[in-house]
Amino acid sequence: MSPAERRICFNLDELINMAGDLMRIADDLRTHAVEDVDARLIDMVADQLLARAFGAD
Amino acid sequence: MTWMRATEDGATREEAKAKLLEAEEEYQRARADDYVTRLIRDEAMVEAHRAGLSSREISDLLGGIGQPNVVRARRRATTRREVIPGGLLSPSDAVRASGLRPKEFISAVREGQIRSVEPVPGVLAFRSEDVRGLSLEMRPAADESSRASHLLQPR
Repeated sequence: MSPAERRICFNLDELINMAGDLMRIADDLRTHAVEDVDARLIDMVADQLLARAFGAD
Repeated sequence: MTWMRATEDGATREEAKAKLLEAEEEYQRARADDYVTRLIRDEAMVEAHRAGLSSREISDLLGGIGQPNVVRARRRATTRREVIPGGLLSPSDAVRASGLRPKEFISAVREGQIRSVEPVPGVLAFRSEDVRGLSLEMRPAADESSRASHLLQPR
């Protein structure tokens, strides 16, 4: 078992796929379930992943 | 609390109650599916809560919709408030507004075709006009419907 403080790395394609999937889930929630709060929260996670994908530290 | 302050607080509560009832009436008239009237009703609940009404009082005022529903509505209204200032788009909204695939948008950022701004430390955003420019540059012939154009409207 690796130590808890070990950094977990994803490559760019993995990040892009995760962000894309989350955005699709958020879109579905907005469109079909009218769950704005959950959609917004999911977008916030996607924003974090996108920021990393853009090259932010 | 002074008499004047108590009177002012009472007036604020009454004003918030009146606004909430008006918003609820409009919401009921438009029927529950109307998104805009629901937004206005949710905001009125937040204001009523700020004016000192409890979730129970708000629920009673609206015909017993239940405290959990009041809490949910307040949470919806609070979450909707933009962290990103007007005229700027969050990364996910920028991708949507551009009509590009996430991979294309990310490549454009990494290659410097579009620059992000940092309105708040640690928060990245994009200017609407830059997103529109990138979109037209990369997909000049794209159907408008493929872009989430409503995100590019000035707020």
